[in-house]
Amino acid sequence: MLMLKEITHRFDGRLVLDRVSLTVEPGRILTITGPSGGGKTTLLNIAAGLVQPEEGEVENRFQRTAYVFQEARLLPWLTAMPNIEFGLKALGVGAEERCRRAVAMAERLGLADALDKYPHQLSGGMRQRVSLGRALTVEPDLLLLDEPFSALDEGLRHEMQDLLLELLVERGLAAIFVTHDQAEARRMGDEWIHLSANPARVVEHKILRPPGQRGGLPAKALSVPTIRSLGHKLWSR
Amino acid sequence: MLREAKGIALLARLEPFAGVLGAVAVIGVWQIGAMLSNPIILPSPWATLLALVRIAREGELLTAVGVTTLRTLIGFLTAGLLGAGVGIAGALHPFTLRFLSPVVSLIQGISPIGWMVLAIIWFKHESVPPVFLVFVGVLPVVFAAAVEGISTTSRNHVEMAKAFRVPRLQMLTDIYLPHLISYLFPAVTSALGMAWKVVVMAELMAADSGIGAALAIARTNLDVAGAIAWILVAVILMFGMEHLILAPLQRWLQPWRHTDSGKGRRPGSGARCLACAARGWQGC
Repeated sequence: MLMLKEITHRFDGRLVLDRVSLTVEPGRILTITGPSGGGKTTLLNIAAGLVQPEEGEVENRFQRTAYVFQEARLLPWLTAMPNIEFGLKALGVGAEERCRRAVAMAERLGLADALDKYPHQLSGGMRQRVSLGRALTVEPDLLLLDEPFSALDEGLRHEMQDLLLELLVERGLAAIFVTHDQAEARRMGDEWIHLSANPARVVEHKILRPPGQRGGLPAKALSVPTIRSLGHKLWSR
Repeated sequence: MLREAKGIALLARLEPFAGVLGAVAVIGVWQIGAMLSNPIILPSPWATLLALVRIAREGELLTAVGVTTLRTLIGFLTAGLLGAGVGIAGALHPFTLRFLSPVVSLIQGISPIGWMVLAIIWFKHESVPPVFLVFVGVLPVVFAAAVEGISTTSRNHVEMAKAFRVPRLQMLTDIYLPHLISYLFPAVTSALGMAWKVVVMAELMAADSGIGAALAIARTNLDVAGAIAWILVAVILMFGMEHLILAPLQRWLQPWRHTDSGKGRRPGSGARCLACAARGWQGC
């Protein structure tokens, strides 16, 4: 479980977060919406342990947390394969095991044909898949996502949302999904928090799906061939 | 209009040979100059070539080239490694940077001639002043490039790495160093050019061997053709090292910069896991 209690934070003296509290239970997806520049990313960085809040308490009982950023943040000097392996290398996983897990993840994400490509050779959607793969290969139990699909066009965004939901359900992961799109928040979330602007406060907290009724995706999961064909579609763009 | 268009078309056709034409023009001007002046003051290109052949036949050439190259490389490599190391440390620790900045500024501020005088007084062995001069010339350039390279590393990449709890060594090898190389190469290339010039000057004034010393002997004998031949040798060495060593090294270290948008590469060699081997991949 992740608990943020009464988090208050300032940037250059400006109050960004004002007593924000939230809880993420194992296996649940919490979506956070709010105006841009309103402190959503800061909140996520605090949850990730990248930023220390000025006031408040962070309690993260999840074993491993992984982060998917708004921009893919792939390393331009590495091909997709070592980019996917990056987090595993940080964990000290051996080369052979890293390779095996990265290849399996790439297949799952429809990236098998892209493993030897550099980031600049990949489309935006493919880059974001590599970034998702990098986060998922470390086998986290909490995934933090900061508007990961905001740069993608409408159709592609839907495909990626479906894929992500399926992966989250498949692995029973908890997630915080930050977005500025309310439709996306409803589609993805089990719970939804809306933040106010300057400073960010929780103004609305809705349970969209009670525990046990997981995911915005209907029970039918995408088959591997479908995922592959999605991959090819992405590739041809 | 038609004449103009024909002119443009001709220039376009000649474009691949522009470099050769430029070299021919230089030799042409040199030849005309030689014909108009005293051959002792400005020998012709042909006379210079003959002088070069003579030097090579007498066995002087290889020894001098070897000695000068060795001195350049020793000074260049020690300054390069130290400059890069200290620059990285400086960029990562503000105290170190502030501490080192006046030292590096002082080294950079003193003219090569100033260092030359000091080096002749300080060091007995004839090889030390040339190496020392290359060292003090190259060090500040590489230091500045290393500081710049590390401090301009993308904050997004550093933050991403921190989110994955990347250990310090991996942070250096996977995030900082690959970015640093982009900054280091242009600096190292210009520093190497400078090193060749400085080493010849230092040898001329302080050594009994090497290209610079041979140049000093040519000057004493009023052998202008020989002097120009030695100058050409130094120039060829400089460009040779840049194009035959530095440029391929950069391509090897930065393959991602030389990949077009269609083709990737199979990094590494040999499959690392069965999944790769099963797909017949060379590496992963």
